[in-house]
Amino acid sequence: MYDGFKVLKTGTTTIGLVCRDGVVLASDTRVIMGFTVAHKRGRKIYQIDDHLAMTIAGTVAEGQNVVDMLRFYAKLYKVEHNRPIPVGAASRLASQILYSNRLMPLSIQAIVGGVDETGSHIYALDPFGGVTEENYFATGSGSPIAIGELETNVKDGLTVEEAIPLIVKSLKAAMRRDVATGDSIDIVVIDSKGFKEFSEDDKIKLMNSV
Amino acid sequence: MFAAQGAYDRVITIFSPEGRLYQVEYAVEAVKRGAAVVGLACKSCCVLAAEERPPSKLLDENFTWKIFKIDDHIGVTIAGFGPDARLLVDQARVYAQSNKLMYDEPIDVEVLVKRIADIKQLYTQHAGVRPFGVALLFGGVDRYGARLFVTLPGGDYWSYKATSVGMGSEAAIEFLEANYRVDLTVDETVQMVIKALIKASGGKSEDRRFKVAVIPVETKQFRILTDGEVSKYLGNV
Repeated sequence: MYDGFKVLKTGTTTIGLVCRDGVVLASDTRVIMGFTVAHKRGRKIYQIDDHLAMTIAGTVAEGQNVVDMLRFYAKLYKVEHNRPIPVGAASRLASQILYSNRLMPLSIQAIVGGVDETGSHIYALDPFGGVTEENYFATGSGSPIAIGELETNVKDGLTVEEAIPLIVKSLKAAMRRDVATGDSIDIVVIDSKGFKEFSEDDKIKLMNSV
Repeated sequence: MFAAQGAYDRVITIFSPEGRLYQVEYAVEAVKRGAAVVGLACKSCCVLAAEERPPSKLLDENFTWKIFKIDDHIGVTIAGFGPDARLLVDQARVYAQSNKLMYDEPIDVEVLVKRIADIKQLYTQHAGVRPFGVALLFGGVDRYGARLFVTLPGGDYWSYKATSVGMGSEAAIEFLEANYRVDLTVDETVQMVIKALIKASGGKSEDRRFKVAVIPVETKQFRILTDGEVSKYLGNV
């Protein structure tokens, strides 16, 4: 059987967390090729629409291509339905794209997260199109470390403000103990006001304070 | 009348010098000659009703050719050529399910209706085909509440609170315009729609029967009423 997860071990850590007032997506920024750091500020969180984003872990080209397709369909959905695509619908769409490639799978793990009429949601996707709704999730080689750290701290009903230090803490744990995770972090918050990415200054402050 | 039209009614893709598409207009005539159907959407529900004239007393009373279920939350009733409608009904059913497969949510009524209207439009422009001689009255309940739409042979579609198409529809529309209220209950809606249908067909008769479908906003479930239920409402008219 094809072992798509072998490729995933090339490294990354991304995190998604559902909060009372929104969704937080976070990742490191290290991109590696074998034992080489190919990029120190690689992008792993992508905005799909005003209310929707996706993290990718695995093969960059395949992740970016799924992002492109989701952007295409999300915009089409908005024009045809006259409303933004629900998070669940976008995840189902991503699942269909991944499953339709199951014979030559796209080596990615993704977290689709966002806010819609029914609230905040994240969905975890495996390379074959398996999709599960989660309250918190981590992907990539550093995910066991990140999720272990996250799990001990996360409780129900967190606000975005409360959640961000917890996420930074677990990202830092992954950066310390996973060689393929490191360099810097990206943090994105999606709430009723829309999509917001943390500035470099904000991130440095956070990294130092947590 | 026909002489003046020359050859412009032979091929649907050709405009007449006055800018008309005669074949499309003839298709609308087929709709006008079809038995009337009525639909009404209000706060509580969407109701579709059709009058069927069985060709024989021995026709299976459960057989219906005027009202169809499209998905759990959408139904359609038709005026004009039944066989033409069936093809579009099949398309609508497939499209409703592909939306469900793609997005994991029930399709919006308007999205479905627009798709069907698009198919109808193609058949006014492609060579070697004729337009669909049928009007479809789509009713459903989605996130926006009860919705009602009409698609015509030309590919145009309209959203209504209540309307009727087919033979005698003018009388039904007049009745609906005078009596429509947005706060009707389900019972009142069924009653009003049946009354409108009787206005269109010019009275009750033994050799006709009424088919009524209800989609309550509360349950969002399409259901065709049994003959017994319809008889009760007819008794009150």
